[in-house]
Amino acid sequence: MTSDPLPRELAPDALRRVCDPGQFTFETTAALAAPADVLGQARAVEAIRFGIGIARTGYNLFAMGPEGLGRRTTLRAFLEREAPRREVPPDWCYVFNFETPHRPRAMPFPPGRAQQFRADMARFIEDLRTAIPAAFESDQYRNRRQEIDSQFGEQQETAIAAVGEHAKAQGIALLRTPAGFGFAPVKGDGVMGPKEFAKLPEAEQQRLQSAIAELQQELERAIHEMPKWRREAQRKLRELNREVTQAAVMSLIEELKSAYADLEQVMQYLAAVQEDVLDHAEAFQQAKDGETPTLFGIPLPQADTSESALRRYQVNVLIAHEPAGDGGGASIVYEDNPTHANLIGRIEHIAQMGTLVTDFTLIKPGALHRANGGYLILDALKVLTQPFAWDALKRALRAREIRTESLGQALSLISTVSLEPQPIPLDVKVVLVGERALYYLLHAYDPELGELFKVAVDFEDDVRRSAQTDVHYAQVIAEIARREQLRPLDRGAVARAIERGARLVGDADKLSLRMRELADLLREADYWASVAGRALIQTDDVQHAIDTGERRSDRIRERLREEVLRGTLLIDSSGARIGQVNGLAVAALGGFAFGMPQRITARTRFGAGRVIDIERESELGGPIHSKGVLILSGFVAGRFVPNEPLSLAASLVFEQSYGGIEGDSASSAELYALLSALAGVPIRQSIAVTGSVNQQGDVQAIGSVNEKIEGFFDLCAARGLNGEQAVLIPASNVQHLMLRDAVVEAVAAGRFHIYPVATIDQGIERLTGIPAGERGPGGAYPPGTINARVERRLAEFAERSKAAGSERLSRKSWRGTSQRKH
Amino acid sequence: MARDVAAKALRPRRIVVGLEAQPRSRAVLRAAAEIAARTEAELLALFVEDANLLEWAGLPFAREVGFPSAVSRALDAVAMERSLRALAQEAERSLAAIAQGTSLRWSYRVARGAMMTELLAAAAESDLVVAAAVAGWTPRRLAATARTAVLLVQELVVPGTPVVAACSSGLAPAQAATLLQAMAGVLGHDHEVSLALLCESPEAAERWSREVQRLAPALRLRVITARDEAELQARLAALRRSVVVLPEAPPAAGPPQAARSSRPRSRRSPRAP
Repeated sequence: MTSDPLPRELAPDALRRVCDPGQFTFETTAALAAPADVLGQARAVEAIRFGIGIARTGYNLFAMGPEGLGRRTTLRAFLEREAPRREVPPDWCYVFNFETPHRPRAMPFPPGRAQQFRADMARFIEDLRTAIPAAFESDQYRNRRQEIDSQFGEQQETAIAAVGEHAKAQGIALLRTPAGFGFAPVKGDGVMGPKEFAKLPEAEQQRLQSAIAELQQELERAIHEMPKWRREAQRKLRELNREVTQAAVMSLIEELKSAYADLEQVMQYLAAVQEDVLDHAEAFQQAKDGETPTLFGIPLPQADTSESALRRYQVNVLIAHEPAGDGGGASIVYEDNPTHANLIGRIEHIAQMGTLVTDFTLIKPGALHRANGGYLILDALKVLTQPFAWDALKRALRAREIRTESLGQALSLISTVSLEPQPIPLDVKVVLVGERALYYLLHAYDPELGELFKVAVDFEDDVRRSAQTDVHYAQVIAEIARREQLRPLDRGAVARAIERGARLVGDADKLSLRMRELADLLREADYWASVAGRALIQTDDVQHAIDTGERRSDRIRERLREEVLRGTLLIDSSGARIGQVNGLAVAALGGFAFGMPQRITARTRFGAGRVIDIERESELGGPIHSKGVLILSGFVAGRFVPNEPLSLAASLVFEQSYGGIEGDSASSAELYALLSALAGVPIRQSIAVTGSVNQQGDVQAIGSVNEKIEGFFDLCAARGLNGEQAVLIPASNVQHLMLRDAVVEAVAAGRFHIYPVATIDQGIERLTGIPAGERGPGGAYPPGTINARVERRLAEFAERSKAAGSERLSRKSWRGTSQRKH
Repeated sequence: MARDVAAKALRPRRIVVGLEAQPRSRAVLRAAAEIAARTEAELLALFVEDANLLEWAGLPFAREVGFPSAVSRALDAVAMERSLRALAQEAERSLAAIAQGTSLRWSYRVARGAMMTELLAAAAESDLVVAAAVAGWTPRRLAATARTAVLLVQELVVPGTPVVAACSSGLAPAQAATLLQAMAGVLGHDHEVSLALLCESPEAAERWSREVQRLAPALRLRVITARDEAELQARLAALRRSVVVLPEAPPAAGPPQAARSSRPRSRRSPRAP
C-alpha cells in the first residue's frame, strides 16, 4: 500500500486560467491610452537606452530574440525619438583628384550645400564653354596667334632664302622639288641641262659640283634648326593660350571662391580646378563636325571627347541632407538587402568601345553612407548570408571609415580601369537584429563581434501574468488595433486574446510577447467582426479567428485522427492490455502544433540485462529519446532485485511510427509499459500518459502539455466519451494548463479526467488500478502489488541466469578437458 | 536688284588654275575650286610639269634635300618624271574629290614647260587665272604679260576678306573699275578693295584712283601707292594676303564677261555631276 494517497483528478478551474473581463474598467479598447512603456521588455529597453546613449566606438547593438517580437518596431521607436536631437550630418561629395586621378577626393559640406555646389560647378563649366571659345575667337587672340605663326614661317623662309642667295652668288639656283629642294647650275633664265653641263670645262664642272655639295650641307644645317623654332613657336602658343584662358577663368571662378570661402577643402579644390582648366582649355572648344571614324566601313561609336574631358569638373554628390534647422536630424536607415555593394557603395562601369571604364562620377553610395552620422538597422542573418557583407561591415566599423571598392576589385577578380576613392569617415550606430542562436554562435566563433557589438539587447519571449500585465496587455492590444485601424475590442474579446496569449506560450502564468501573432489574431478577429457586421470585436470573433486559424492548418491532424478512427492506426481508448500504453506525441508542422496518442508496447523475457530501444536500433530515435530509455533502464535496475544481476531482455517500441521520435516526454509511458509487461498486469487503454522520468522514479515536466491532452481528448470525443477516459500529466505541468473550453466542460461534466502524477508509483496505480507498493520493514514489497510482481519476475530471471551461468561454466570445463585430451 | 544683275554679269565664266609639283598647290586648287563653285564658273586645272626640274634631274650629281626631314637623296630624270606623273594624277584625284557632290564643272590638262608661261598661254580663253606666286614673276611682269586678272594665292582665300589688288596706272581707269568690281564680286561680299598702285607720282595716283572710284561708286577703295616695283612688292608682302594682279592691257573684246565658245583641248572631257 502506498503511504501517499493518489493525487485527485484536476478540477475544471485548474485546467485553464481564465481572464475575467470583469477586472477591466474600460468598455472597449478605444477608451484605452497607449502603453507607457514596452510590455515585458524592461531588460531590452534598458539595453537600448544605454546603447543609443553611449557615444563610444564599438557600442553597436545586437537585438536578439525570435521573430515576431517587435524588435524592429521597438528599436525604431527609440531611434526616432533620439535621431532628431542629433545634429544633421554633413553632406559628402566625390570630386576629381587632379594629382592622382584614380583616387577621387571626398569632400564634406555643411548640410544642404553639396547640391548647391554641384549646381554652381555645372554653371561655372557651362559658362566657361562659352567664355573660353569667345576668348579664342577674339581678334586680339587671332592676331597674336598669327604673329607667332608668321614669325615661325618667316624664320623658315629667311633661312632658306639665305641659302638661296648664297647659291645665286655662285651661279647656282635653289629649286623647289616635289619633296624638298635641289641645287642646279644656272644658264640664262633656266636650269643648265646635262648636255650643257658636259660641255663645261672640267674645272668649272668640279667647281660647280663642290659648290653644290657645300650648299646642300648648308641647307641641311638650316633645316635642322627648324624643329627648335617650331618648339619655340609652340611654347609661345601654349603660353598665349594659358594667358587667354586665365583671363576668361579668373572672373568666373572668383565668384565661386567668394561663395565657398568658408570651406577650406573647397577652396583647395577650386584652385586645382583653375590650374587644370588653364592646361586643358581646348576641351572647352566646341566639338567640330568631323567625319566619324570607321572600321571597315562601319561607323565606330565615338565618345564625345569634349564632354568626357569636362566630366572631370563634375561633382558627384554622394549624400545630401536638408539644411540644418529644417527638422532633419540624424538619419535612420534600414537596409533590407545588405549586400556588399549596398552596404559600402559601389563603383559602376560604363562600356566604351568594348572596354569597361569608370570615373569618380560613377561612385554610388551605400547604406553606411546614408546612415553616416545616424543609425543603421540591419538583419543579422541577411548580412551574414550575403557574400563578404559581414566582413565589409566589420572593416568599416573597425576602421571608422567607408572605403568603397567593388567586390571584383577587392578579390582581384576583374582587372579593368579601377578607382580607389578616398575613404569617408564613418560615425554610425549599427543595430543588428537577429535570432539568439545567431548571436551566441557569432560570439563563439567571431572574436570581433564582442569588440564591435558590445550592447546585447535581449528581448523576452513572454511576461509573467498578473492583473497589471493583463491591463498592460489590453493597452498593447488597443494600440495595435489603433495602428492597424481595426475595430475596437470589447472586454470579452480582450480577455479572450489574453487567454490566447497564455496558450501560445503554453503557460497559464505567462503571456506571449510575440506581437506579430497577436496582431495577426486581432486582424483576423477584425475580419470576422466585419463579416458578422459588428462595430466591435467581440469574444466570438476572437475565438472564431483562433478556430479558423487552426482549421486552416489542421489537415494532417484530421487525416491522422481519421486513420485512427478507421482502425488503420491502432490506438485503443477502452479496455486493458498487458505491456501496452497510450503515449502522447506532439507534431509541429508549418507553425501549427498538435498532439496525437501513440501506442507504446514493451515485451520482456529472460536475457542479458538490456532494454532494447527499437527506435534507437532502427535509427529512428533521437539522442534525447535514447537517453530517456537508458534512464528508465537505470530505474528498473536500481529498484528491483538490487542484489542480483539484472537478467532481463526487454524491447520498447512506438508502434506504427515511421518517422523519427525525439524527446523524453514518453519515457514514463515506456516505463509503465515495461512494468506492466514484467508484472503481467494489464494497463487501462482509456488513459493516455505523458511525462518524463528520472532514475528515482519521479515524473518530470514536459512541453506542449495542452496540445497532448487535447490530442487524446479529440480522439476520445470522436469515439464518444465514456467517463473513464483520462490523461496522466506530470504534476509540475499543472501550472501550464490552458485547455480548450470543450475539454474543461467535459471534465466538469465528469466525462473526461486529467490526473496529475508526481511519481511512477502513482502513475502505475492509476493505469492498472493496483497499488505500486512500497518495501516493507523486511525489504519486500507487499504481495500482489505491482512492484512485488515485477520483483518476483526479475528474481526468477536472476535465478535462471545463475543456473544458466553454472551450466555454461561446467560445459566450458568439460570442453577444456576434452581439449586437453586431444 | 540691279546691282545683283550687274554682279552676275561680271562673273567669270571660266577659271584656269595652275598646279605644280609643290605642296602649296593643294591650297591653290582648293581656293580655285571654291571660287569656281561660288561663281558657277567652269574650272580648268592645268598641271605644269616643270621643265627645269626635269633638266636638273638629268644632272649626274642632282640630289634632293628633303623638307622638313633634311635627308638628301640622289635623283635621275626617270625618277623625276615618275614623281611628276604621280603628283599630276594625285592633283586630278583631289580635284575630282573636291568636285564630288557639288555642281562644279571641271576639266584637267597636263603641260610641260615653265609654270607662268604655260599658264598664261592657257589663260587666253579664260577670265581669271589662279596660281601660286612664282619666282621671277613680279606683279609688274605679270601685269605686263597677262591678258586676264591673275590671283596669286598666299593661303586659303577666305570669302569676305578684302580684295588686295595690284595694278599700275598704265591700266585705263574704266577698265580698272570693271575688273575691280568683278574681283570684288568674286572674292568678297563687302566691296572693300585694297588697291596697291604702282605710280610715278602721288598726284597721278590720286587722280587715277579718284577716276576709278567715280566709275565704280559701290567699291570701297583703299589705295596704297608705290613708286617702284620693290616698294610695291614689300607692301604687298606686309599684307600677307592673296593678291589679284590686274593686266595692264586687257583684251580688246572688253570686260571679262564676254562669252567664249571655244573649249580648251583637254586630256579629259569636261565633267559635270
